[in-house]
This record gives sequence, C-alpha cells and structure tokens, in this order.
Amino acid sequence: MTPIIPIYKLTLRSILRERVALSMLALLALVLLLLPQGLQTDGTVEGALRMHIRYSLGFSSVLLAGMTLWVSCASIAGDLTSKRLQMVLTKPVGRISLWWGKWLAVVTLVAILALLCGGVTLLRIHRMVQQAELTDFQRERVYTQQVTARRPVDAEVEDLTPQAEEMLHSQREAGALPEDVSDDEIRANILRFLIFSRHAASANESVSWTFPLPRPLGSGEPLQIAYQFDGSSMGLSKVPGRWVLESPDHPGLFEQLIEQTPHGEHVISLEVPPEMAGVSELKLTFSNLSEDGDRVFFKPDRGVRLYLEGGAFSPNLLRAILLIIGLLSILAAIGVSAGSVFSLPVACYATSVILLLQAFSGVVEEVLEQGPDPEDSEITWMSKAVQEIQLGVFRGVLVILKPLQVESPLGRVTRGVQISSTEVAGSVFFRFTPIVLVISAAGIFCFSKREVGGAV
Amino acid sequence: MADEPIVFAKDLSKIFRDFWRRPRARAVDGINLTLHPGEVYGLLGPNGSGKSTTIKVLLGLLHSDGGEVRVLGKPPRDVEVKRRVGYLPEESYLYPYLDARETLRFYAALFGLQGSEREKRIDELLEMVGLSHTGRRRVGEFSKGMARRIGLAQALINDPDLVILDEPTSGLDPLGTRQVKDIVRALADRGKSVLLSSHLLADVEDVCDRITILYGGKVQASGPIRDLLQVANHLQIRLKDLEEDQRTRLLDLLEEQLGERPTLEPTRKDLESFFLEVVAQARRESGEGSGTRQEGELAEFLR
Repeated sequence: MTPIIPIYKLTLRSILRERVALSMLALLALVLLLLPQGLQTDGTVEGALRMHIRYSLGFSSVLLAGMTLWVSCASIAGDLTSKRLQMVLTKPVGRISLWWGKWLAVVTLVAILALLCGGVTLLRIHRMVQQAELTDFQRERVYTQQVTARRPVDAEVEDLTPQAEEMLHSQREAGALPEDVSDDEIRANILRFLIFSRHAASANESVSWTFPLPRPLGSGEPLQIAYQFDGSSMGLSKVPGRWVLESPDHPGLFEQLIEQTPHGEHVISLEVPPEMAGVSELKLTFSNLSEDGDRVFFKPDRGVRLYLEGGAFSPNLLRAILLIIGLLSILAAIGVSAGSVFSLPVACYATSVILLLQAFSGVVEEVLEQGPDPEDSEITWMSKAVQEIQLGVFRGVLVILKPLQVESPLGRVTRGVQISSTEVAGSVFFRFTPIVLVISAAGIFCFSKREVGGAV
Repeated sequence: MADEPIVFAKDLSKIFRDFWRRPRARAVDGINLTLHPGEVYGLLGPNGSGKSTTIKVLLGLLHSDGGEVRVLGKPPRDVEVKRRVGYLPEESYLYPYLDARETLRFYAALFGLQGSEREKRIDELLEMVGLSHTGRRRVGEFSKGMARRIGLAQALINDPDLVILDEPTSGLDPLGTRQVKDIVRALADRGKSVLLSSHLLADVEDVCDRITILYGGKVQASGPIRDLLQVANHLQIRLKDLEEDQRTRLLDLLEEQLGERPTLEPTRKDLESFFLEVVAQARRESGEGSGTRQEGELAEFLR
C-alpha cells in the first residue's frame, strides 16, 4: 500500500478534529441555513433566487477558500511545528507521498463541502420556486429564464488591425503624429479607439453585431438578448433606444424599445418566432434614439450577447462547483507548498497575499497598462528605478496570477449562463492539472531541501 | 556484505546556520562511528553535546555538512533504509487525537503492514508495553511515560534491523526503564543493532557493548564499555557468607602478604533492583494501579 493513503486518511481525520476547521464548518452551516432568511430582496421570486444563489454560494466559496487556505498551510507546517513529522519521515515515506497525501486530503474535504453547499442551495432554490405564489406560466418562466443554463453566443469579432495599420500610415504621412512616440504605441492606441468606436452609437445612429449560431434555432424556444452599457463612459442619464433582431432572409423579426440607466446587465427575453426557426445567423442592431445628442457605448468585451436554451440548471451548478473545486485545488497546492517551506503564520500570510492579489488582479493589470508617467520631468532617477522595480514585481505577479483568472463560475450560474462541459474538461486538463503539477513540483523540491528537527 | 557495518559515519559534521546561512553552532564536529550487527551502541554526553543531532543526521532528518554517512549500506534518506529502521525520538511526538491502537495502525500502514499481521503485531506490542487496556483513550491524554511506551512500540512495529532510541528511558518509571533495557538486550541477542543516546549513565552501562562520549560535538572517548570502565591495578574479590573469625583471618593474611590492611565492605543491592523487588511484592499483594499495567513479555514477532 502506498504511504499516500495512510497520510491521506490521517490528514482528513486531523482536519476534522482541528478547532479552526470545525469552526469554519459551523460557519458554513450557518451561511447555508440562516443567511437566506436574512436577505432583503426586491420582492420578486427572480430577485430572491438571484440573491440566494449569489450570496449563499458566494459566502460559502469565500469560507471554503479561507478553510482551504488554513488547512492546507497547516497540513505540513503544523506537523513540522509539533515535530510529529520527525516520526513520519523516519518511516518509508517519501516527501512526494507526504505532499500528495496532504493535498489530496485537503482537496477531498473541500470538494465534499463544495458539493454539499451546491446540493443544499439547489434544494432551497427548488423549494423557493415551488412555494412561491406563481401561476404555472410564471413558474415556467422562472425555470426557462433563471433556474436554467443558457448558452451564450458571442458576436463575430471583426479584425480591426488592417484598419488601424492604415490609419497609422496615413497619419504618419500627414505628419500628424509626434516623432518620439513609437509606432507600436500609436498602433495600440488606434486599435483601442477603433474597438471602442465599433461598440458605440451616436445619437440617431445605429450599431450592429452579427451572431453566427452554434445550432439552428427551434421555433418557440426561449432566446435572450443581453447587453451591458459602458457605464463609466456614459454618466447616469437614461438611454433611449431600439433593438432589432433579424435574420438575413427575414428583416425586422423582433423589435423592442428601451429606456434604461447604463448600469448592470439588461436582458430582453423572447420566444423564437416561426420565421426565425432554422436560421444559422442573426443580426442585432441598436439604434440610439437620444434627442440630447448623447453617444451610447457598449462594453467592448462581451457587452452584447445572445443566449440560447442550453440545458438544465442542476448540471450547470455542478459544473460551476467543479470549476470552484479546481480553483480551490490550486489554492490547496499553494497552501501545502507554502506550509512545507515556511512556518504556519508565514505560510498563511503568503497564501493570503496571493489570494488577495488574485482578487485584485484587475487593479494590477490597470497599473501595468498605465505604466510610469513619461511626461513627468520632475521625477528623479531614484523614483524611476523604484517605479520600474514595482512594475517588474507587478508583471511577475501577473504571470503567476494569469492562469488563475477564470470568468466567475458563480456569476454565470446566478445569471443562468451555461458553463459547458468542454470548458470544465478543458480547465481540468489544461489549466488546473498543469498548475497543480507545477506548484507541487516546486513545493516538493523546496520541501526535500528542508531539514526536519533542527536543534536551533 | 556480511561484515558491512550497520551504521558507518566518518568525519561527520553538522553546523546549524541562521537565516543568512551564517554558522551559529557547530553541533557535530568530525565524529567517527561504526555500529556492527547485533551490537548495542551508546552515545553519551551532556545536554547539547550533539547526540540527538548525530542521530537525526543518521536518520536523514538533517543534512550533514561534511563527512560520509552510510546506514545499512545506503545514504540515510533512502526510503529502503527507512523500511529497516525503528526510531524513538527524544520525546514521543504523537498525533493527540488518535488512540494507542490507531497510532500503531497508522505507523504500521506506513510500512505497508496490513490486515491480520498488522493487528497481531499491534496486540503484541500493546501487551508488551503494558497499554493494552487503554482502549479508545486518546494518546493526547496519556502521561509522559505512557507516551514513551507507545513511542517505543511504534519504533518496533516493523521488526527493524536497526533501532535508534533517543533518550529511551526519559519519563519512564524504573519498571519501564528495566523493560526498555530488557528489550534492547533481547533485540541485540537476535542480531539486531541498537543505537541509543542517553545521559543516564546506569542505563547505558547496563545494556551497551560500546559507547562514545561526546562533548561540544566532538568525540571525547570511545570504545568497548568494559575497556573504558576498567581501573588499572584494581581488583575486586567477592565472597559470600563469611563468618566474623574467617573475615579477621582473611584480613590478617592479606595484610601479611600485601603489607597494608585492606578494607572490607558489605555488598549492597543497587537501588533499581531493590525498587523492582518492592514493586513486584506490592503488585502481588494489591493488584494493578491506573495508568500502565504490568508489562508483558517481549512481543512474539520480536523474539
């Protein structure tokens, strides 16, 4: 029998008897059972469901991340501190077996707890829908629009690089560009401007997107148009406009007027009309009806999407939980490795910092994008050097964090967006597994160099 | 090779360093050590003399900074070496939430011991160290002596060829101490090698064939215990049931032959023997107390 199994069993037992882990479990139970009772909703079943899924699972995930962090760091660091590892490592147990035994135990526990959280949430959701005072039609609507898994369809991406290149050359020839700025920098700015313009509509103008469909539409099946304005560019004024959805052979099949504030995701639900059945491409157009001359901006990245009927909610929730378990398994690998190199407090601190950086990786990216201010002539060489070091550190951090960035699985489940099995399998094989292997190799290497039982 | 030493260390050194790799203490400084099959070897020395550090280097827990180390013919960190080694550290670092049986089960599993063979060994070892009655009581609730006993049991679970015992009698009552010494001798009689460190000189004297005395990480004296303790030109005559007049005549004769009158002292029992007799008597009269019970015989698989 490989020593991984006894190490695995003992670690599981140890976690279940740790006071910190037990208190985390108690908190988790509280979140799952009591939090939904205290949530203030907008009074609709849809709102209650959204809040319930987002907060119950959101808080559970945070607690699970905290628990993973603690138990993974403590799994080896705790045994080192208590010197119990001296007894274990003098037995025929390689440090590789020890590392994997500990990691497997942590991942097993958090996986069971995550699945349990998902199960409890699912039961509650179905109970909420069943107990709500709804007509059959309304109940059906909740199941087709929210407690569902819609398949997202993104618009065709237009390659704007040749256009940017052309603009760069014409501007250069006209002498309109400063000589000391590189072509690459100008090209990047032009491209950014073009992408932004591509998703904007001035007053009384229109903007269109083409959606190649992954399968022919069925008559009467639910279809949704989801859009997000770029609120930061538009202030708080309401946006008046008209959406038109059409197929190449049937123009103007669906039309809807709107007047909305530019914040959050907006969804228009419809049923596929018989004329639209069987089409493999749809065109969506937004017309800006503003009378005040306001320009409307959509988020360039997935700001406009179509959602087709995808599948049932339960398997989608399961796939989201699998992605969460994958992320937690990476966190566990970081924790076990940190615990095998540092003392428990240092390991917990280091892992928390990585977790926080991951949460704020968007800010890190922004800082990197901005870079140092080239026009600041007052800046000393010393400050410049410090800035460069800071940016170097940020770049390094981003390289580590990049593979950890996954589009929030919970956010998608809450919005009823399908997470495909292909995505889950791809993440498991091409993202989580390689990352865990790399972290484990680094952790085991450092652990093998570490002495156990030093006298001073 | 048949005559290959079980433990071989030549010019062994170990320096403890700080975070910046600056040397802080030279814990072991050029030690040579050879342990042969069936031998009981004692490492003696005051606290901080380098006994435990030497042991930890031999077990692969610490890296040496110089010299050569071979255990059972291989580098100490070799997993195959660990299969044949039993180790009792200076304190029994046990998992407090396991009971005695679970503890032994865990360590047995690390050696790949399974099923009835494992359970049989655990039964015999628990009986041997007098802990078979502790049931579901967790080892975190054990006294230090009880923890030492379970520590000793785990060190023997794999029927090791080399047993390394660091302060094995620390925290044990005289009964337990006697038993550890008996076990050590019994293992040596079976051809097993035992390396033990202690600062309790009487324990070492009772069981060791050879010793090394360490001080400041260096070997101060080393060799067979009989040779080291022999006082040159001093002899001891032991006589039994001597009458008063016989005693006087003997002293007269010795005085006449040697030119000086020798002194006569009655033979005394050592305190350990006396204590063991008293406790054995008490046990016969009033039965077992709480804590450990009377130790059993050496486990069958160790015989």
